[in-house]
Amino acid sequence: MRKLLSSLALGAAVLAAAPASAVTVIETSAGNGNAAIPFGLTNSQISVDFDIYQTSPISLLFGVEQGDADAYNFDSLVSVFTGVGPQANGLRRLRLSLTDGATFTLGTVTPSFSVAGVQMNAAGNQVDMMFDPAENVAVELGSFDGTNGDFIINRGNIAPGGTFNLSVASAVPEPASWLMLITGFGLLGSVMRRRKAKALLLA
Amino acid sequence: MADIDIGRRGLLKSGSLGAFALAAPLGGLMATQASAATGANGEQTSLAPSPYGPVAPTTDLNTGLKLLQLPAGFSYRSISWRGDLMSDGQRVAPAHDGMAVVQVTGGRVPEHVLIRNHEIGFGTPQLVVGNPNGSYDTTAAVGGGCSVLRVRNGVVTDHRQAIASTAVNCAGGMSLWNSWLTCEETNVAASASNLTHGYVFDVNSDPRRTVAQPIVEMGRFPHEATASDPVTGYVYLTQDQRAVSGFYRFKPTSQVRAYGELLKGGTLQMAKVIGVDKANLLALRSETQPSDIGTVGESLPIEWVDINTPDASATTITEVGANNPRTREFNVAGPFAEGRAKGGLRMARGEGIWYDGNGTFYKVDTAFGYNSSGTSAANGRGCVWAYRPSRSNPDIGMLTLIYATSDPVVGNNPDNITVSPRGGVVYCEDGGTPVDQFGRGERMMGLTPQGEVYILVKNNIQLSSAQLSAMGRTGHPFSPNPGDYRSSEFAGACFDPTGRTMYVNSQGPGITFAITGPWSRGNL
Repeated sequence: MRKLLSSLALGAAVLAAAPASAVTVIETSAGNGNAAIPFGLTNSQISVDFDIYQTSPISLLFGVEQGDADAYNFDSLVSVFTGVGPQANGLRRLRLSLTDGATFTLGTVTPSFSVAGVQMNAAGNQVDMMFDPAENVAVELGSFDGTNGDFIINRGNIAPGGTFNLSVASAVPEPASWLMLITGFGLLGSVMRRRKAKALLLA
Repeated sequence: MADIDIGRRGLLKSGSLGAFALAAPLGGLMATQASAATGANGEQTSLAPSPYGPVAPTTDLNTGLKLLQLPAGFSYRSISWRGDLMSDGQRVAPAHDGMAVVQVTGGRVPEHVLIRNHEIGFGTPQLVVGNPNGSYDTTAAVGGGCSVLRVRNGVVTDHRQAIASTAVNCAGGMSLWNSWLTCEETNVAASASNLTHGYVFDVNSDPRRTVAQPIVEMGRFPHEATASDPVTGYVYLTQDQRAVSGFYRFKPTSQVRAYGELLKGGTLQMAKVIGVDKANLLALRSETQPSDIGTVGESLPIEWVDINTPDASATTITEVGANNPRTREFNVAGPFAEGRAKGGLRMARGEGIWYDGNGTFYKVDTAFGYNSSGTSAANGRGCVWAYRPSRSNPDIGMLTLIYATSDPVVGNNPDNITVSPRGGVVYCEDGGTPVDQFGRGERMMGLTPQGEVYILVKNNIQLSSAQLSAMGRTGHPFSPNPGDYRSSEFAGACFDPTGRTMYVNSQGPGITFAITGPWSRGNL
């Protein structure tokens, strides 16, 4: 189950496997047992799963290729191993970030056991997800059954040959900052499990 | 015999466990039996603090009801209640009992395949839809069986009947081929059909492939649970019959590990203490009470005697002997009578058994000890044994008493038992409803690496008519009735292979729970 992939080996494998017209992973950074497993990369789709053992960030540098669509559907299974790994606090917060002008359109957030609050910053390049109670199994981002519910990564002005970074941070905020995060920004909405309320959050 | 050449009490007294050393966490258990929480004979006398902290009523994320008391940080979902509509068009049967995650399937999102017993004797039979071979005793109103559940991230994606028309399916155990060995905890004949009961059946995770044919050579007796040894392929078996329970194993004839292979037969054997004829392991020995076990931590070398007639009918034997705390005439299962005559040991009431993946089988005796007045053995508060088969000589092994208590608040009749992927032991209790610092309610207990039990979960199920109606769980004969179910036992505890989700049943009203949380704060 645990997929420990070194960043260089992972990048090389993906480069070798990806079709010429698909977005590519140029570099992966994942430490402390965390892992990123991209397996569905096309010119319009980015599917990357994350295994999180500790609250250190994972980042992937994507290269835009000729023929890529202006936007990619994005979905991910974030497997939370903190409850059985060396860090026992569970997942309280997950932050997705984009660089170089790429932006998100929100999709569904479906934690296995918890309830999620989701917010996106004004620039559209950072999504914070908060889980109460802490999630200890997994969080599904987007839909695995098709594109309905997927997040959208808009590449903006990044031309073919350019790059952008997608990072996942699972830092557990201190209680004070946690409270500030909730009250300062306000929750866009609470996303229950997709089966109970199939919600597509829009920014 | 080289790796078993130690005295009965050699493990603890020598301080050197040698080749038969018990690996952690059992090694940890043995090292600390003389702690403040134990009496002179090693019995635990007070509850240990939980490494997960105190429990408190916690909201079910599916119903909004506070059905369980859990430590802070843990959450759960209730699934597959009795009376819920299943994927095969039938309703979930009541009396949820033994269970295991027998398989993990799926792609990006793993799907846990669980097979769950329903401990029903005579009642309304279910069907295995599309598979007439999935039912056993169809001419009698035998209502027991199993259901198979597919659970994806705490949500049931499919559940259906997996075997039907078997009787009193109490517990069972995983096979070595992703199926479930379900145990009939009875040995009565079904009068209408003249088919006998008290067998083990192999239940396929695909109900269309289940063949409800008893594995007769595993013996006919009130079976409780099984645990399979991945090294030898032997299946260890417990018996739940007060004061006349043996400890058995089955050596399959076929070396092929596939569904249906156990039906090719094998040899049933019963455990015997080496050098002790007809050992009595019903309670601890004292100055006035005889027994062949004296203290928690004591180990007994074990050999196995063949049972030549595993399908023999029940009979009567008379228990006698100087070291026997319970001497009288007993009606016993046929295999027990034969094994006992050959010197086999007896226990109080065998219950759960689980292999830890590291060479140790944890085995429960729910009634080990004396009653509160100290007059009747095999009526106590229970114990946990650890059996380690020798890897150099599979015909022998070592049985060690790792936990016992006579205090009903400390331990209240352990029943089903499981081991987490990280090696922590959890068991479900099934005694009279305990009242402890967290109030009234049946419990799940953890065993610390120091060998002391702590409270992990408490039953808090209290259902009103209005709550059941609001959930839509009314109107069918299998639908739950309103009531206070805090006295209902937990059963079927098991972990998924990653150790992130623990599943467990409450037998009444019949609910399965998926529990998750910060397991690594403690030893589970």
